[in-house]
Amino acid sequence: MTIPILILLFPLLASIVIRVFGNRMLSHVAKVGVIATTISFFLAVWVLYHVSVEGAVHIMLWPPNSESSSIFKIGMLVDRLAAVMMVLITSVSIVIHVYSIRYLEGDSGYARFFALLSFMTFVILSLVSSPNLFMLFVFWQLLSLALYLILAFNFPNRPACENAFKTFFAHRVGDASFLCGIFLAYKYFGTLEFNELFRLATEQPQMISLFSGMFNISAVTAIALLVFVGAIAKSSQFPLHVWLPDTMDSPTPVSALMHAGIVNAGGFLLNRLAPFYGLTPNTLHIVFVVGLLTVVMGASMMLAQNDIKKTLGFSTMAQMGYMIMECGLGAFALAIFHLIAHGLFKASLFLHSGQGIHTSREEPEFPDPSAHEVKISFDQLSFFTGLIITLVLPLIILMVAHDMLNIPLQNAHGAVILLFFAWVTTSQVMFSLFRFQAVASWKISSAMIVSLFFIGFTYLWAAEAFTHFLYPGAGVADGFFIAAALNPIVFDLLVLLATLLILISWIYVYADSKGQKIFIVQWINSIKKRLYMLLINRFYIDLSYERWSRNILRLAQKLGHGF
Amino acid sequence: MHFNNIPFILSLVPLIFGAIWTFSNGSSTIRKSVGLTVIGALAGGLIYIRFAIETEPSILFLASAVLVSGFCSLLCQEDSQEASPIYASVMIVLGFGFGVLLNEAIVGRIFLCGLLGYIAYSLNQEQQKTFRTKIILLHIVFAITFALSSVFMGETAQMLAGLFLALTFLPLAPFHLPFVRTIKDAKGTLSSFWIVVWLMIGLGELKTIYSFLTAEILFVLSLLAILSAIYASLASLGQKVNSLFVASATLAHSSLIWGLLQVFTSFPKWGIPFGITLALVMGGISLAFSFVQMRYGWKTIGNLPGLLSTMPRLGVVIVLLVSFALFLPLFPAYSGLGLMPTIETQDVGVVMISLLFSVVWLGGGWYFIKMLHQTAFGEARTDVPYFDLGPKEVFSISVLLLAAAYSGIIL
Repeated sequence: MTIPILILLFPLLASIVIRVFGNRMLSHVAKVGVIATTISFFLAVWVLYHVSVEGAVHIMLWPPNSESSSIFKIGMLVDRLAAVMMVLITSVSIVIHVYSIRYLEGDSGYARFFALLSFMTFVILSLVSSPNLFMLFVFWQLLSLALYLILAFNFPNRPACENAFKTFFAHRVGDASFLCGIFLAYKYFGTLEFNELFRLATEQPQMISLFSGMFNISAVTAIALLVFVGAIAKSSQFPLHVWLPDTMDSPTPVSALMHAGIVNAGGFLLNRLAPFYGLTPNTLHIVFVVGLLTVVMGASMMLAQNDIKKTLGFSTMAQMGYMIMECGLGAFALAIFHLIAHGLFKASLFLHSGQGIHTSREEPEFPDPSAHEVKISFDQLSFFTGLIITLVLPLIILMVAHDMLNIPLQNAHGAVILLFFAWVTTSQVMFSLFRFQAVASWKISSAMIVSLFFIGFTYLWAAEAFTHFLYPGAGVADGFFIAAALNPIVFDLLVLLATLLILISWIYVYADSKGQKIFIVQWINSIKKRLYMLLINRFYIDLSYERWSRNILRLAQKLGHGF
Repeated sequence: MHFNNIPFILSLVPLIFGAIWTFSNGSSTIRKSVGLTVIGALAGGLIYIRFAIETEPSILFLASAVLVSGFCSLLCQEDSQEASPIYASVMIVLGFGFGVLLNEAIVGRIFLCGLLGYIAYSLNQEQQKTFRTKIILLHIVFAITFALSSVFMGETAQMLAGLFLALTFLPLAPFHLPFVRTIKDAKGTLSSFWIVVWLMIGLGELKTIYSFLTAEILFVLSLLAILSAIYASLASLGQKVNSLFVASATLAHSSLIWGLLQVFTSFPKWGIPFGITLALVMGGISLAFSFVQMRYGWKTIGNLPGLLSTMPRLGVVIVLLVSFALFLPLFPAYSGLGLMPTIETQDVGVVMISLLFSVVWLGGGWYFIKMLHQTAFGEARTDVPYFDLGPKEVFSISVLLLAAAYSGIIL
């Protein structure tokens, strides 16, 4: 079974051919990249089918002796997770290759761009098919470097280079922690091969004792936390989120690739190590909190943006937070499901953003003076449909959580989590639909009900089936949900808090539609202004990082002078 | 001829040429050709030693690295009025370097004293000696004394003398001053060669003494390594002079070797390949800087940005070198992790190496990229005539990079 190797080889060869002969065959550069990626895509589809039927494929390329003690083993582990990711990566890469043909036509770095694009495709494919932590880390590093080089593609442009550096350094911080995690993993378990590592971590739990026993921590928890920092950096999670919204100086196809592919690396890493994370509930809770914080920060900062690409950047940050939150709740496969959907959606948005910007730059037309502003009327039917639907779901969640209602899923413990995410998604859809008030109310209400069933179907059937597809072992996925289970009181409080927020939102919508001012107007207005300042300044996190780096540079200059 | 005389003779040959060239005038083109021929002959001599004399392979690798670097430095040096003394210096340093690495006991120590004396002689040429110069001269006097007396002393004293020499040649703050000054004062492509020779001698010294180092000494060394890494990384970040930038970056990365001694066993298996890789990569960066210096005379980083568009070959070379350098800390991890005793290692040791790795890793990520932005990237100047690298220069850097990759990955 050598076909998986070919999936990696085609983009690599394309990259080399384009880099070496690119300037001599400029008109064929794109063709080489597109053809290579397309072949890889079809091979990836075939491999996905193969591993679904026959099981995972494990290929060892180096060292030739499989019993070798070398820690750096080059090979491939293609299981269902890797195969799904390969199909996603190659499909997104084809679209981006094709889009870039005209987008970069005439650019002096045309060949260099396609070489880098193919190289990045190779690196991401190698990353997802790595059979051990060390190889994964090496490709994780190469990805950081390749991303840096492609972000600095327009190298005379100073802001683009500075933002590329910001990205690289944020990733480097995560990578330092990841490397420390690898050290500990090898020290305490003597292996970096995934399957062996998971087995040893389960069978022989170790404790790390520091400062003569004053500080004790489980080795699995320490390793999981350190590796998670790597995921935080790559997936733009708080507090290493600062790089993602500032990478918009790069060409649009790069943004699409980044938002559809590279930021997903963190979610993939957590999924790859899911059995390991399943052993450490405390880490999963931390993962959940980091994801939640990122969702709140990303979504709120997005509201204050006035640039379409930056808005999309913050939206991606929030979506990645959502994905990490899913992992923190044990819904690892749901995170992959989300990652695929978001990747395809965001890539299309980015590739369309150029057209949007172009349209907005066209000569503005004066509004028709005879036209009158359409007054939006408040519609009771759609309002109450939305309100009831968004409030019924938390009731069902609480009933399922307290065993008052049984939903027959394969992974019984996942029902609550899947319902939770279905509810959050539904609420968002309900509010969006309510804004279409110009349409007849029965149509909106029908759309709301259809959406409820569609979302319910997606989460409770499709996502559940996908979970079972990715983690087919009996009780495996269920085990993740159990490990990640929050304290029942905390969970109830979380649901009630979210319900309260949704209720307040509906009240606000109602008051606003009726043209009424809700209570303590001044206070809310002052909060809104302050909040806007906070959001437009990104919670002052970027500024504080810049201040620290300036101080470090000042100290460095003094030391450098006397060196 | 007795076989054991071969290393001695191999060391003397370049030394004699260097001495003659120092005190005579001649065509620099001829000297370059002769120098390259001598290096070719020395390479043949090394192969002969490999098969005829029982020599440790690691020593031969160290000597080979010196030879490769010497070859590249000679090949790239521009033929000019200044070139003749540089060729002479390359041959002298090559001779002494070979002498230290290939000869044991008193003979090796005499060559080491010769090398230190040569450095001191160069320093002594300064008209007005600063306090720093006096400190460096004092350091060299100590090093010569230790080098000579170690032959006649007991095991512990021998180990301490060896440690002092190792700390000097595989630099660790605060023992780095002679190294930094030597690199700073070197002309043309010589600074690149000095880096390699200096580090190879340090690795050779450390190889001799590492098994005698006690747990307490290793602990102190790892503490010193962390401080040295922080200091050198910061110094490199704030550096504008290219030779000092390379020297501080080398110091930061060599701290890694000292710190890792505590947790990775079998130093020759991981430390020597990493040390060679480090020296060749830093030598390569230094060589790339010297290309700019030879063309324009500038020693300041940032005077010539945008090289990727104006001198694409040099720009690509710098990007490649920096990309390689960014991955340097992974090499000892790759070869050393497998040798690390599991579980039994002291937990605090792992915390310390994690800290050390983080410092070197983050520092490297910052100062190398900053340097890249000041050289390869950015907007190009329009008031400067540009002459891109020639085939010889590209070849030399390629050789250094390939040798570094071979040492780091395959060895």
